[in-house]
Amino acid sequence: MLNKILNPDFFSRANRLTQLWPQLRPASSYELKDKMASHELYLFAAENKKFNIPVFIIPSMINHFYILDLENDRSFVRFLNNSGYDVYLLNWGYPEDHDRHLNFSHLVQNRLIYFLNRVQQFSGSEQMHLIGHCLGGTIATMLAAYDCRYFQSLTLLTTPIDFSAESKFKSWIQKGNVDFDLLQEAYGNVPWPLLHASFLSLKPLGQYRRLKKYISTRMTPAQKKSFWAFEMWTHDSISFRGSSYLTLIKDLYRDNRLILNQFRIDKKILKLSAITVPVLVVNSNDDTIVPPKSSTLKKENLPNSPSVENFLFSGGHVGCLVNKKTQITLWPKIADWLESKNNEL
Amino acid sequence: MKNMDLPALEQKIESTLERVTEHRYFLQSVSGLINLNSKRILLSRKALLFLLNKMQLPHKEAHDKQAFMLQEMQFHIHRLETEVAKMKQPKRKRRLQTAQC
Repeated sequence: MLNKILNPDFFSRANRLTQLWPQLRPASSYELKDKMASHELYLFAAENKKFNIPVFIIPSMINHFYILDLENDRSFVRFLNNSGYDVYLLNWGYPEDHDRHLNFSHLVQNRLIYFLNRVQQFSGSEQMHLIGHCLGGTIATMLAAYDCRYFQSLTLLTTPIDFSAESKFKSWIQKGNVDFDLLQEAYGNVPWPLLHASFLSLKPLGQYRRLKKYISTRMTPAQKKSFWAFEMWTHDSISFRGSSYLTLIKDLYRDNRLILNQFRIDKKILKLSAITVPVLVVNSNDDTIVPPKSSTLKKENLPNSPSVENFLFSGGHVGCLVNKKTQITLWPKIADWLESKNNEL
Repeated sequence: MKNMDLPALEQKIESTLERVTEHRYFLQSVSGLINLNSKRILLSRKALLFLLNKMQLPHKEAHDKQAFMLQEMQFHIHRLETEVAKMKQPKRKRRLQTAQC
């Protein structure tokens, strides 16, 4: 008890406190299909299901998953539902203290394979369309390279794959000399305030500009609601599982192992050539977190994939999920692409 | 600065902040602070652990890894169960699945 009260891991406790606050939830109704450790698997069922093959979405680990279903009229999940797919979505949840030991090997070999098996059981379909957003896309790529049998296609939304591309994060890691091992040892899970501060520093006046726009523009109540929904999500960060963070910094940001086919999942070296499904890559031209060069994939990177298509849209990092324009330009393209891959069976 | 209008001032501040956050000295100072704070946390934790061990009181540090391993074991068992269930499926169905890949 004494140890619990005096635990110096302040941020971990602060993070747990946030769980007591009323959480923002997805706009659409969903069914909790499974819960294991801190992760939850949700089903967003299509009203008029056209396809038996479901979509499995892996969201980013840094922010909450509900950006994929932020509002009734800004919901990528609902769009997929309306296109005729059942959508299974993984919620990473808040990390527990002992999740500091969780690395990408555990995530891919045990946890994600477990959830894939569950999706197979629930949907009755052997294969699924895999979609990953941001770091979730990086994990989706690892998963597809680890075991491609589960998937019929892979879609990556603003996903960092080639970490050699210049970005602010990369330059901070190179120029600064943060001892990440020490950081992980001290905090366990990397505290969300630290991650949040680094995201805000990417655009130092970004927050100010958004608020200024909010004050100076005459907004309808719906627009105001929409504005605050996005702002709430932006500030609703999650601490990063310690060991995974170390791998992200060392193996990905520093050594760029994934694209160089040197990334290890336990003893297995992942080769991107093991991805044998069609791949759609969505990049955004104004992305400060994942620059387009980092998210672009070429056929030579995925030699055994039947097709690798890149689509560059105009917007920021999460623009592909919340931007009104992308609902008209990008989402139908993704739906058409998925449908064309359905027919390949 | 005095005669600057708001957009110009914003731009100036933004470019200054951009330069500061990219500057080697600034980044090294911030890194130094983060490292120092990590050391401070480690020191207080280790001192506390030392104290608890001396007083022979239980602490959760040792149980963390066990709790994690138990969780991993659960996932692993489920995975093995699924694999066994798949192997028990009739051979023809299995072959069909492999052909799809």
